[in-house]
Amino acid sequence: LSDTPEIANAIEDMVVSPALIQELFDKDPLDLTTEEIDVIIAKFRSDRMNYLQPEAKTPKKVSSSKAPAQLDMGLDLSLDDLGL
Amino acid sequence: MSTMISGLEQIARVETIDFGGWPSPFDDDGVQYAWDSTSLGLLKTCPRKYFLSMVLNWQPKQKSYHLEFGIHYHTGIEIWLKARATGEDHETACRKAIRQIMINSFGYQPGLRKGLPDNTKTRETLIRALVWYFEHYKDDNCKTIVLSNGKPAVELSFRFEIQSGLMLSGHLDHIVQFGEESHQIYGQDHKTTSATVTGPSARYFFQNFNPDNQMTLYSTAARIAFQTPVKGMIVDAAQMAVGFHAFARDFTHRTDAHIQEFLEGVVHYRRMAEQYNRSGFWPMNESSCGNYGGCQFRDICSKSPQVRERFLRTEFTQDKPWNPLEPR
Repeated sequence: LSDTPEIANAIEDMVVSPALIQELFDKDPLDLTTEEIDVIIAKFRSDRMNYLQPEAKTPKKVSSSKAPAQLDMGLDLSLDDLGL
Repeated sequence: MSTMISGLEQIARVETIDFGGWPSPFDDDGVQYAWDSTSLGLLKTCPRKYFLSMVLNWQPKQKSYHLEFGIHYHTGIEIWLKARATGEDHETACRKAIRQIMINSFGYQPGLRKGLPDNTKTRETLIRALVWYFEHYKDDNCKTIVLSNGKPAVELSFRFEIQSGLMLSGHLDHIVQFGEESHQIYGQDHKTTSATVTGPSARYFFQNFNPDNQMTLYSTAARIAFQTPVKGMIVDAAQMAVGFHAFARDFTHRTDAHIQEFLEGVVHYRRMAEQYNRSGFWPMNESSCGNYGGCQFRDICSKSPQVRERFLRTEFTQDKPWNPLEPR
């Protein structure tokens, strides 16, 4: 695993896919390289940062299937009222 | 199983237990003389529970995953603290601890909680909790003290006599100096919990530690066995949750008078054990059966006395006795 580009990218970018983490957890721990241990540490540090800085998380996507609520402004204007 | 067995029969049972090369914590009369917080806590909780688990050595066949998780967590912190105390940098200490716990925990599986696997205590949350702990306390103002033998005060096994033929023993996680003032010395114990450890409700968790058998025994050990004038204990709590961990610590103080009172209690309970042993009757304390999620022997004790042993043999084992004299 340690020679794969994924490991190198993971360490560089601190972005670790769940599949890679699962693979590292399934691997015989006696065979884990220092780079792989670093990936595990980096992954959980990154989780911690995301947890501690919720504003940095991706904002929730607004659903487009539902129309925004209509605001009742209490106005009852016609084009005539606007002088148009 | 009858709990009215003769003292002689009981002595015979205790003498047949193989303590794996370590001295037996029981004296020639079959009365325990070396007590740790676990065995003392058992007797204080319920004499019958103590009798079944310490004297007769019945342990559940299914090892507690809480216990296993806690052992891995403690070991990880111990490795990190020792490395830091001996001058290794944070990164090296992290790597060393995570590598070892990845090895130690290989094959660990969480048990069931409300019928489902407890996903707050998986192998992944174990490693994640350790990484978060190391980050959280990277620049901690608790510094490990160095003992007179030059070793860092981490994972300390102790035993000392409090009177002739009566000994206290156990394992203390850590002794630290808090802040810059050299008199601010505390013992430190690490706890994992699913309870909330931050915010207003944290007090419900931390109030469990005063009064507390284990924390007072550790304070006593730090003062007597390690000749360190601790003010009490720091409880370092880690909350285990599915998506996060929270860390908090609280101080629980013990005065000399507290320690004196505790030691008098130990002498009293030892005397009680002697009396129960002599009479061969170990009463149940039914009011404690439901504590902490329920006693492991609750189902056994609820059976009629004549069939209890049959159920014990099915669900429990006498494989490895708990020995307060076994160092870690």
